[in-house]
Amino acid sequence: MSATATQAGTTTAIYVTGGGVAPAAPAWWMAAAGAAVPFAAAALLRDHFAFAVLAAAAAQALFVVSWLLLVAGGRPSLGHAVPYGAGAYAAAVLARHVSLDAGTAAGFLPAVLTAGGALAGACTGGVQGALTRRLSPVWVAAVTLVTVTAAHGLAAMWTSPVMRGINDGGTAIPLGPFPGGDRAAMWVGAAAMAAGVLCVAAIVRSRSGVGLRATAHDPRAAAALGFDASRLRLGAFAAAGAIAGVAGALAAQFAGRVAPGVFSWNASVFVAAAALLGCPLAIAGPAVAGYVIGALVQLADVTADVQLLAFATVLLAAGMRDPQYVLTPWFLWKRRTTPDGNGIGRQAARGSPAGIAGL
Amino acid sequence: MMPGAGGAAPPLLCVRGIDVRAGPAWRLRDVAIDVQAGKAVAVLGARGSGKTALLDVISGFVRPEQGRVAFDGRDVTRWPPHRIARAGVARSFQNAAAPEGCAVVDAVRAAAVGRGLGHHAAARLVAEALAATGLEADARREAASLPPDRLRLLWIARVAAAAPRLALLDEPLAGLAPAGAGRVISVLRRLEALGIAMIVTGHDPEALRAVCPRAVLLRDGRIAAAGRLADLARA
Repeated sequence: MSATATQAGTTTAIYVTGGGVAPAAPAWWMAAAGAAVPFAAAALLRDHFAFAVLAAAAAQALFVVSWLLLVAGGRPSLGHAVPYGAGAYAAAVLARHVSLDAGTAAGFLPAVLTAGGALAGACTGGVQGALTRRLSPVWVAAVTLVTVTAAHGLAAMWTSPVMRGINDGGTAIPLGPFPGGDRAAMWVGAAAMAAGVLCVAAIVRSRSGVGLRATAHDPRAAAALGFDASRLRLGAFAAAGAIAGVAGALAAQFAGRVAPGVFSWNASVFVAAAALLGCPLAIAGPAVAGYVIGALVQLADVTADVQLLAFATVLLAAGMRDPQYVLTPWFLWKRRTTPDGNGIGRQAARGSPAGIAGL
Repeated sequence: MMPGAGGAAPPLLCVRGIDVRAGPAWRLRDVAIDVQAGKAVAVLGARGSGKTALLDVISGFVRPEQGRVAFDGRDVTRWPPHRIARAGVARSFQNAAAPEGCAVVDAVRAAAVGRGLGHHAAARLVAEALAATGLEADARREAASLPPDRLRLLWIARVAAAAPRLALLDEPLAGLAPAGAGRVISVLRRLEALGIAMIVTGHDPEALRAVCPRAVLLRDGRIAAAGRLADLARA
């Protein structure tokens, strides 16, 4: 085990690596394995209730995967529910305006609604990115969390005439049943999740992904390498928003309605908790974690308050374990240690002399 | 005559009349320097003399109050850092943090990718940069686990992998033991042999003599002396 200390901004950290061998970039076989999980689950089940649960879980997993683009850029948002909810609302509003002939073109409707959701998600994600482009990661988290609350308030106040046909607390918008039923929804969800995992893995490995990771580590050094940090961050928010918008649009179509509850702290904390449990270094891990958690929450009928408590507990536990790296691409549940084997997480976060040896 | 000037060819880098203010004080005052293509110039001076500030101006991180920076005949004074980097100016930092969770080869590849090179060209340059710096054996090792002298070589490998026309190296020898400094010097000579122009900052003129025939001495943000490094070292 080896160690070195570096100055990162105003804080000092010791990085310890097991054997000094760096983890490789997310491997394609891992991404492919993660993408195969919903198909395997779908093939094994025959129950209609399970179909609905797995369809919704796949949408949740896609939502989690989209957030990883922000983590890769070192700017995790706690307001990722905004593009997700925007996608859901866009699908709902479009569903009430698009009049495709049910007999000839109804099969295109989910694609149209999902494309609308992607566009709405990209726009709202882009707005979040523009709002936070010059902020530190802590303020990114704070400001984006505020945008969730604002979006929730706006959604709850929305009483446009297109909202008639309300069936949930006076504010929900119905979309109607998914064409093809729950079984089709499950397969569409599985395909969307698989495509999302592979898409995010491809982005992270692309030139933009390399730039995002370089920017996350040191924006100044990244600029000196030729990466436009500001543009990359904005692009990451827009791309993550587009994928979250797809997830929201699919979730709304699978559920048959959308309500202001999609803009909730729960959703924002859920993605962070699933990513932490699945290891943010990989793509497939958080996707599978999101899929499993999404399914369990529905199967056990866990209330929103209990969900929030559970997800917040995961974040708190992670924060206590590895405070400086929680919600970063480098989070490890295994505590970082000094060469003498002492844990240094908290000392390093406080800038203790224990973290200044080495360089 | 400015350091590096002397031929009929126009200089690769031409810095004129640079003023940079930091609060009430001047960090740089009327600084001028030329660098010819493929030549190395040392910028010497005590801590706080303005060496890093000069590199910051050339690489676009600091905009001067006055003056002009021309690279390859183009005025780059107001260009953002990433655009200057893409034009062919690579930069290393004195106190840069090691990339966390990143293998040496990936850290070097980022430089080639950032320059906008294609996959094959980037792979070739990464291999050449690792070979030139002697980091081939450490290619799969975690960058943050490298000892200080090899970490310094990693930053130079990143500069080399960017295929620059001009490399700005901020204190590449600072804090290194003689053996480590010697290794870095031999790598810098290899880069010079590849035709990469360099500005190398440092405190010790003797250490840079093997690489930089010409030098500028900065004192309190002003050019105190300029000429052959051997002459400056004697003075």
